[in-house]
Amino acid sequence: MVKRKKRYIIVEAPSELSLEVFKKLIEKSYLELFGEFGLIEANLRVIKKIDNKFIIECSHNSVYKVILSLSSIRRLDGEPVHLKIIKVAGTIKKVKEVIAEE
Amino acid sequence: MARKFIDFWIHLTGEEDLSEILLEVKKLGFKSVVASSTSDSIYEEFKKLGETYEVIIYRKLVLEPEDRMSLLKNLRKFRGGYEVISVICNNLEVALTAARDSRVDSLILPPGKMFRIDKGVASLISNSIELPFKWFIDEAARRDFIRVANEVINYLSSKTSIIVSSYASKPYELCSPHELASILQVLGIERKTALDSVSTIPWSIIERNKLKLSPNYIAKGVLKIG
Repeated sequence: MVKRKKRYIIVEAPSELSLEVFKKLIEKSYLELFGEFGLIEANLRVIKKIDNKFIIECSHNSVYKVILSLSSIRRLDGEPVHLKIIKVAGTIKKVKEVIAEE
Repeated sequence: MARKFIDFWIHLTGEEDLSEILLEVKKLGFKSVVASSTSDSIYEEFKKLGETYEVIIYRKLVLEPEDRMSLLKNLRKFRGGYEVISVICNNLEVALTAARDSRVDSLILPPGKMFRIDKGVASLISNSIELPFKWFIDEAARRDFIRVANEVINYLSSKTSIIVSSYASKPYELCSPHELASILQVLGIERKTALDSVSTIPWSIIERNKLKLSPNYIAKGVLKIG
């Protein structure tokens, strides 16, 4: 079986946002834009929250779709919200390095 | 060499803190922005602040003419005063005129446009097409914007260049270059070309126009030296 390549996206969000809410937010946005098949294909997972940063795992050929989904999220409960993409990395090790540097 | 990213359209209304916008632009990794404004004083203040934040500011005029004659009249009047001129094409007559006029830098096709881009229209378009990302963020206009972007890519991507700009007027509406490029990637453009739409393509337009606006410019290919 061929191992699927993954990518990790570090996203900065308002600190009061919980992991569950963020997960629902990104899944809803991705679903709206790319549908059920797209969501399954992307293997989208929010794996961790460190301070105000979230780490998203997805398949490497869905990265730009996840980026677009993230940029389409501009409002949360009527308030403007901006999710900032800090880095797209190929390994968890690199993600940890980037977060440590920040 | 690292890419020099440029946001090809920021609209200044004067309601927002200009330094906040510039700070965000800088954080997002842009070297330069092209700004349209509701008044000259806002633009002048923004340009001055740009020097502090080391962001190069260029001026843009966005025309939204009703017909061909008003477009030509405005182009004659304003071309010399702006680095970039874009035209919002609300009807086919304006689109076809703007598409062939070398004084126009980019064509903006609004989401609610009442004409279709087909092979016939595409064959006449020689200027760049600009896709303002704000219409993607706006949920009400999103579907129409994607339809327009799809038409543009299907019929025009092989023929003309595409630019993606933010059309932001508030700091939270600004997007990073990769976010802007992602819309093209989703619609089937490869990554390198998508990133060109926020870097090399707008830069080449700016460079060409800076040369045209310089006092040494005489005609296309003719420059006064010394």
